[in-house]
Amino acid sequence: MKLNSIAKFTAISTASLLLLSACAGGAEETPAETQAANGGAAEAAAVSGEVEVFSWWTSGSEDAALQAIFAAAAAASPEAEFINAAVAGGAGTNAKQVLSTRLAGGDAPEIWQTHPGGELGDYVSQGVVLSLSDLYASEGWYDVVPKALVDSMTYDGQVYSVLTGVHRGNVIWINKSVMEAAGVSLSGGISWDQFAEAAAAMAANGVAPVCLGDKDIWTAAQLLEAIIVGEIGASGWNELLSGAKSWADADVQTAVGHFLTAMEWTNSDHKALDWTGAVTGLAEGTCGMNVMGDWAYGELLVKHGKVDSQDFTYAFFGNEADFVTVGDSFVVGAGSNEAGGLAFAKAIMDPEVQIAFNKLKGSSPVRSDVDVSSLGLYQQAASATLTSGNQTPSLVHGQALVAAAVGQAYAEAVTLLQANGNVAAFSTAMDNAIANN
Amino acid sequence: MSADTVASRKLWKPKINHAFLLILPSFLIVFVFVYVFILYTIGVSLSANWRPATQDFTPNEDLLEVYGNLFLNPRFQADIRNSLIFAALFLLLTVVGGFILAILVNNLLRSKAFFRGVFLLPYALSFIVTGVVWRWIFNPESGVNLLLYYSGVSGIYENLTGEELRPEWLTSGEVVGDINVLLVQAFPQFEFIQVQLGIPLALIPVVLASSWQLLGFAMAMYLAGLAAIPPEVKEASEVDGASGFRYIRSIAIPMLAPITVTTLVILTHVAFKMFDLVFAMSGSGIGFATDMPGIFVYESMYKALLFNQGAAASIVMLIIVLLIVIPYLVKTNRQRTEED
Repeated sequence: MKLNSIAKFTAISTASLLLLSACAGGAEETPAETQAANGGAAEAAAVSGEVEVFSWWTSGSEDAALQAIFAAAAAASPEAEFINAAVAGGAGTNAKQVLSTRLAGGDAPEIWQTHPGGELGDYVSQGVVLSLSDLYASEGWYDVVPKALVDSMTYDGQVYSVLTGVHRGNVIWINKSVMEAAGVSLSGGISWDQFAEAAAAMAANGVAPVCLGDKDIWTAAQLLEAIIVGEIGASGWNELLSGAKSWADADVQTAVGHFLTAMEWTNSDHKALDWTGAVTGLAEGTCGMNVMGDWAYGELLVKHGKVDSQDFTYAFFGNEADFVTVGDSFVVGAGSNEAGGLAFAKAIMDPEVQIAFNKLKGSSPVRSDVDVSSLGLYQQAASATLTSGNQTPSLVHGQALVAAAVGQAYAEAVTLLQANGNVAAFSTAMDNAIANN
Repeated sequence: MSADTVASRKLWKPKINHAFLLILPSFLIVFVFVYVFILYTIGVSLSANWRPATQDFTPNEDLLEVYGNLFLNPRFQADIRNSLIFAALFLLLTVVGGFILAILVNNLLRSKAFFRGVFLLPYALSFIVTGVVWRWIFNPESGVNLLLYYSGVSGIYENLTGEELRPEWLTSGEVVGDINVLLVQAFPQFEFIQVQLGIPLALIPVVLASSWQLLGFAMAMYLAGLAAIPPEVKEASEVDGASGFRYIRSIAIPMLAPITVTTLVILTHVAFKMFDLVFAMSGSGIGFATDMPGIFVYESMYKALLFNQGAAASIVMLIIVLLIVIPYLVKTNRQRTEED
């Protein structure tokens, strides 16, 4: 009897295992099958049914900006039901976790948020996203989106995502009264020496020159990225990412040395603050200059009630025209309601939506043919630089055409660099990461 | 064999089947969602390029390559070091502190329930809340350093030593002690270790915060144990003239040994799985001073998209926990059989 029960139990568990593997097998086929069948054909079909939009935008301004796209999509496709499936937390890491699980279960949303660059490439290699090349051609998007940005979304000649807007990752935000008290004036592109001179003067006044909140390492990694781009320019940075230039080159090493100097100028509690803490320090004048993406602009205006060019100003390391891009993009999933996903992608690229969205989100419209005069002063300047300047992708924010693992290796190398100041080890780690991934 | 025993056996047989059927659903659920997924994770860790949508389990050419690289990774080395040091300090503080609290609360003549509640309350908080609050407390600009300053401790210290007293707490990257040289002299095969093997100072605030949270749990365990000691034993010891301290040392501590073991095992697995509190309180810290294997798994999987590396690290974590839990289970099982 006992043996019998064991046999029964084994049979049942084997059966459930088979069932489980059958489910997994089923999930595998869907994207592969439809990937072949996809094309512009989906466009012609009437848009209806449920369209799930998956993002990590849940905070006040982000959600408001997202709603602007929803409104336009719903107006254009009244038959369809657009569902907001946003997941909060971890700057998108939590959302990615949920998305991975859903992809593994064969339950992909119709359209989801991802960073252009390596992360997008990972979805492309899994065959779960639609090519949008036909849409780019038929809608004329190739002519209005800067080429460097299109390239960052292109794999094997196919474009795979649309951008809602682009943030600038290399801005030095400066508290104006701290700067004036130090008797210096910074604006536009500045050299390292100018920055160092200002920092010394601020330190002499008893103010920490550099605001930093690097409890999460990306803020320090971003400071280093901005310094390196300032030193070697946008083209040098592109070569560094592609492996054409070594991280051990003298100019890169100089920049890394500057970063270590800048770390000595930071507020002493930097490891206990996050980026908003650093912006608060800047707004209150307890520290002078904060290298942060232009999402800090909204933080300064809205949360701290500061006035652009009156309370604060901004500058850039090196060439003012070098624009480190941090884009937010969406990909259309292959296999389910593709027409619905494509309709939402079209709504994202709508000129009016681009303005409405970026006004709320604080980034710059990705289309060069829209009228930005209704945006804030800083945003107008940033939009102009985005269209005419040298765009280069942020490694910190996973925008570069390198594997996501390179971005993580960079974050880890900066963490070690902060502790041991070993510039040579940092260069070796980065050269290895670029070569191995 | 008498007719009597045959009849009783017949009655007994269906019973065991019912019992078996009753636990079968939960057994199946646990089997699939725990054990099958452990196997699944092992499969991912050995794969060359597993991705959520492709589910490609093709194994790596060099099967254990990912595990090998993991142990050569300075970050993971730091994580293992941090985990071991965190576990040791945290267990010591929590178990000793919990025991002392339990003795104190147990000897209260009044308001016993009130104080039990007070000390147990932190245990009800989420680790994230604890982490954020303790991050503020250990901010060198605004937290406990101000307390040191305004209470005059900083002034006294400065007068005595001529140095400023401004601990960096969470913001320190310093590692105290270094056993690398000794270790490599004794075992040359450990030469691959790149991190300094010592106590990262930034871990100490994290230990304090987590002990604060779990002290109440240890206390509750010991209070239950103390209540189970028969009053006759205490009375007998009093008749024999044992002092309160002697009673604790010679009677309470030995009699509470099973409680200590259970508490240690439960807290050890909490220590090795520590994630949320550290994530909210200090992140990875300077030079991974407060990084934990759990954070490494999370970032490997969802930031670096290196699913096999993340899976391998989680299997290593599982093995570390099993090394502690399995001997405990074997021991308790043996005791149970002896009692039967």
